[in-house]
Amino acid sequence: MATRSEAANKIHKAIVKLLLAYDKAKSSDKTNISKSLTGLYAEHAKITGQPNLLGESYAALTAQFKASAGALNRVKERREQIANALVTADEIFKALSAVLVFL
Amino acid sequence: MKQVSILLIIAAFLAACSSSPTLEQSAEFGKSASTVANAYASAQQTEVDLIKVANVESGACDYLRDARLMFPVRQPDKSSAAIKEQVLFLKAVEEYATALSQAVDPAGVKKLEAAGDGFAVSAAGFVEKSAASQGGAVSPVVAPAIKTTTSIGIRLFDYGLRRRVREVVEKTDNVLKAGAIKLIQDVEKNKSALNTRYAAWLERKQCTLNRLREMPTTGAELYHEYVDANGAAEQFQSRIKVLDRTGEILGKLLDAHYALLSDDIDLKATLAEFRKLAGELDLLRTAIAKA
Repeated sequence: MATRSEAANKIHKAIVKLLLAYDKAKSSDKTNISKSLTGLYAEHAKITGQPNLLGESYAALTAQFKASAGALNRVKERREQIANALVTADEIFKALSAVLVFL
Repeated sequence: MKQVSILLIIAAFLAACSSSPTLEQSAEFGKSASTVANAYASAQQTEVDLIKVANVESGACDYLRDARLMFPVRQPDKSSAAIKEQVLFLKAVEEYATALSQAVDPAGVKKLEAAGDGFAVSAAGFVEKSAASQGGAVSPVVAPAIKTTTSIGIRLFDYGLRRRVREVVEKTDNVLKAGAIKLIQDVEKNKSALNTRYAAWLERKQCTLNRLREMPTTGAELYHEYVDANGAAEQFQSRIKVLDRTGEILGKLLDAHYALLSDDIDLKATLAEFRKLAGELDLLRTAIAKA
């Protein structure tokens, strides 16, 4: 029996295959591909426990992408902040060590 | 050995949670995002171009027919607004791809590690000088202990960040799938809207051509020039071909993003790193016990 992640992986591959087949498909097949994509995506969302976003507007999806980009930018900033803090601590220890010589 | 075993279990748990996309995977996704965004941006430009040439065509036809110049200003309608929203969505995907590549850039991690190394050396130096100023001496294992502890602290912190990146990618994959499926379902509508505009322009062009053909010599010369001026039509054909490849580029985009979630390589490397550090800690523990 397939695990959830295996099932999600198989659905993902099916979605990609349908998208790759779309361009050369006949007009009637395009309609079927379109319906299949909707069904597969709904199943993928159910399996992964994520919300079905097909009913959302592009503006709503755009906002979610901007939020993701913001979260990733914060990861980068956090890494830089800690590196800077360590450099500052390094400088403080060096200064204190220099003072200790005179004690 | 009990402490080391516990550490290894914690390390394995952290490693399992913290594998994150590589820079190469991120770059591949960024390339796909850029391709699809450009395709849509050119489709939007096509519609704007067609509206513009149709306006000029209408004006020319009216002038030649009635000797009066009128430019009926055609406003972009719903289809233009829809394409614009799709383009904005894809621009946001591109921005996300850029943020992703920066978040997983190894240069940032190296900078953090270098800062940690510098800190460990200074801290150990401070401890030694502090002991010396009081007439005492510190065990030789203190400096390596500080270094290893700092190194573990930095790795734990960085793995926390990597886990956050993975969470964001997982959540965003669902949004990307929804967006890609919506886009492919709208492509036919977009192409239909563009074809309608193209047909409207050709109709106005035909009107102008008919008037020119009926005119005396100057008009006939102009007619020949006019027939050759088909650049806009060629551009339309090339841009519509890009839309005919939307399925392919969206498929590649989805696959490139999904690859960001694969964790085989990072998991192995992370575990190896933790095992090495745990081994060093065990040696230090033994040395401290003997000191």
